[in-house]
Amino acid sequence: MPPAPVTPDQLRQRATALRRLGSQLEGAAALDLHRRATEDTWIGPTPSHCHEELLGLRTRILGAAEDVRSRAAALERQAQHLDANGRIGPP
Amino acid sequence: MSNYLGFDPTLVDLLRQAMSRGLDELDSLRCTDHEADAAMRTIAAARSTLRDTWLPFTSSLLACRALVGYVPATIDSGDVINSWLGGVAAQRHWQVLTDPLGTDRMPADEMSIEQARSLGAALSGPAGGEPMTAEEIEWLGMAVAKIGASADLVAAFLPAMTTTGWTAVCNQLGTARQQLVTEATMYGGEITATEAAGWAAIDTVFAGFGAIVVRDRSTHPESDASLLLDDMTAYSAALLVQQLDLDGPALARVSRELIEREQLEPAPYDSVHLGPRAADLLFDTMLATGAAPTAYVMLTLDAPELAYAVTDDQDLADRLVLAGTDIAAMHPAEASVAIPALARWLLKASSDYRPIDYKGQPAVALAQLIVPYLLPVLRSEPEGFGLSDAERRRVQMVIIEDDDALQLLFDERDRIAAGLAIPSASDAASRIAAIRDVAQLLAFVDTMRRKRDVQRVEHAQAEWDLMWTLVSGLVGLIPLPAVVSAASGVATTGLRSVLENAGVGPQSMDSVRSETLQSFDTMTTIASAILLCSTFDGMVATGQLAPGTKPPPLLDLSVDHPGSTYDHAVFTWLQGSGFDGGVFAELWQSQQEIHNSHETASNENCILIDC
Repeated sequence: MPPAPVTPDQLRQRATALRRLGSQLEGAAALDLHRRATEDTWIGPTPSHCHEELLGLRTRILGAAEDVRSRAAALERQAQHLDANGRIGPP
Repeated sequence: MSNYLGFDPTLVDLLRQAMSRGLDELDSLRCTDHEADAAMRTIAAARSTLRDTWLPFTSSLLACRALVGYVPATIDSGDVINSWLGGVAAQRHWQVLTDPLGTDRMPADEMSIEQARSLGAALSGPAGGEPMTAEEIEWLGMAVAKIGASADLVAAFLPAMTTTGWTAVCNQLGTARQQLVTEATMYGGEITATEAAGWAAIDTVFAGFGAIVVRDRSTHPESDASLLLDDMTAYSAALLVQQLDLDGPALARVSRELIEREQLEPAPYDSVHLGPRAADLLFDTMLATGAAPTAYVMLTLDAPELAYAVTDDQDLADRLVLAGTDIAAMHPAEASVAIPALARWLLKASSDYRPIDYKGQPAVALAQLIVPYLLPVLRSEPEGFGLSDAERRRVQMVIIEDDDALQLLFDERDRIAAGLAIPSASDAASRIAAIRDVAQLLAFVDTMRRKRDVQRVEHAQAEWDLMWTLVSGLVGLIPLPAVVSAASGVATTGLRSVLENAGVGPQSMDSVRSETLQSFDTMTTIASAILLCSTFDGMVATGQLAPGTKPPPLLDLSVDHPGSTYDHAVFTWLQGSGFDGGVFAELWQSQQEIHNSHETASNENCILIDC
């Protein structure tokens, strides 16, 4: 049996969920951990390594947030296309 | 590098709590859409980083460390970084443990007031004198650069950094650098990138130190950084001085002190070959610093060897003196004192009293030195620089006897010309004085060349005669009656005449003297013709003479005596021109001045140098 056709509303709901996840990531407390791991707190090879890792973690989380927002935008464009043409357009 | 870990338990606990909260938050994130798969994998990795690595680590610091391998420690102050870390930990009342990561990753990219102060104290303690590893030097370079970029950090660092600390660290690094450079240049090869990298890190440290001092000077203009140099080796002090951004006179003054000090220092390490010295560093810096070369030359006139004979690279010394005595940089009053003093020193260096440390070519250096000052050096008083007749003769002979030096004199015609004061005003007296200067200059150069030509013929003649004498000795082996000499026989004597007449032997002295005089005549005639024609054109252009006025006669160089022939032609032209008395006199005088001045100066100089 062929899959049920995708409706514009479904696409918009998925986009909304992705945007919510993006917002949660952008507001995550983990993004600020590196500020607490500076040389005011500790000094040494391991603290230095920790600081670098927390900075890297921050970069990756922000990248993930941007990624889901971009995917949400693509879904919304598809929904608009479906509204206008009755079929799913290019992402 | 350090294998210690210093921390503030309270702040680490806050960090641990924040990590825990962050982890809980990440754990709570959910999204089942397949478009979120990549993001969810990132979240999972982040959770793993916190849960499996850093939460356990921070918790372990605050828990029973004996179970996890961290040993409470007192920091061994043996090296710079440990001493610095110890200072920071003590100021903050931190706890100190051994660090499981051991010997790397000790950043200096952040620096607090306390850390800057601790570094000054650490360098001023025993650690400052301990040989540093390459990693420590690299770390120190980053740390002092960070401090030098901030007035607050400088204000914290300097009071903690004692003069003893400055001396210990700079001497240690300076000596290491000198050894590295010496070894790299010992066999005269090119310095490789690897070799240069060996001392680049040291240079970074000195650059950072310099930035610290310079920043402090901007805040406290009255501070005297030269006090830091008192106990350093000259080379180490020079490395620091290079970074102090001193003005020309101050740099020259400090340079003289350090270079004199270096003369008294023992070699800094065992080496057959001592490479670049403090002077090399300082000369290089002075060459890039405005008025420094001239200031240094003037400061060392009592001992010109401090300019000429103190560098490993002789070219640096020669360039410094040339830059310092350049006619554009040196005031005429300074030149009248400096040039004779330097010339006298070079004359001495060209003799048997050559200073042992002087590696240059005195004749070439002398020629380079006097090129812009040829007239005042070679002229007698009162217009000259006051060199005695013997000195002026010796100056010329040293140059004449060195082909490179004499060639340099001819090649540097632009610098010679730059030394002439050509008046901008066009009053007749100034113009005549300028013409006389040019003529005398030509006369000096002409007579020096003449002397060189005559000397060459003398040498060639002596060699030719020597050959005949030696061959005559061989001829004596031929069995002949005792009363007969083969070498003086008719055939042999005839052979010599034939050879010499055919031009096989050296040129005759008479012909050389005649040719050089002919050359004098030709050169001065050309010069006077150029001058006369230019004067005439100027008079036409300014309306003193009407357009269409008959121009001066053409020069004929094919005749035996072009000078007198041209004189005659000019005089005839002037007589037939109908010019008024003033124009007549100026044209005739400008044409004659070259000849007369040249002849007078040539005669005097020929007597002086015996040509």
